[in-house]
Amino acid sequence: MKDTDIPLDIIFINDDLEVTTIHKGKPNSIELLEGEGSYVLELNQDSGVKVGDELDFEPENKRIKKTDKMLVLDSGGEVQMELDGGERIFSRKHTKTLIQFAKKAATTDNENDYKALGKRMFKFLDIQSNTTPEYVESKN
Amino acid sequence: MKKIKIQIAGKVYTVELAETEGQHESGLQGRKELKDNEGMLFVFDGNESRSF
Repeated sequence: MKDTDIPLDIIFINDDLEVTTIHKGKPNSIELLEGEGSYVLELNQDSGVKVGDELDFEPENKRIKKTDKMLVLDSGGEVQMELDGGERIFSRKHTKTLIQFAKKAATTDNENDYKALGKRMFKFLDIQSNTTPEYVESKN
Repeated sequence: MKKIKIQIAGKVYTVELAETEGQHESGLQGRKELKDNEGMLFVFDGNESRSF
């Protein structure tokens, strides 16, 4: 790393947000470091990060704990499905919209159509994140 | 540069986001120190092999 005085961990991360390679960046060295990934994370050396660790854009305290269980109930209150807590569910309407946008993008292979799909997904995920969870008592 | 919070290996960091080619080039050059809860995240198009 030229012109950089700080010893760093150079962490390569792939599209699945997994660490693929870690290099020790030597201060002021011009050595080229190779790795695979959509992201490179630089932290102080000896960060404790290992290959296989996952990068998370949503720090722990915002997430629902995995030990919470979620039951999907039908209109009669009977359990249709059991899920680990924190699962997100798209409404039938939103699912239909996303499928339409996805089909269009797959047909045209046009970047703008993919962009539109992405924006729509963000919009729906945002609605999910900002809607207060609604819980009802299950019969069991 | 934009700063975001990330978590990796059980620790939360506030990192600067390097997205443009210019930001990629500059990186952490010229910095004298980096706090233990800080860093920089470089974002690239695609998953290929790259030299850094």
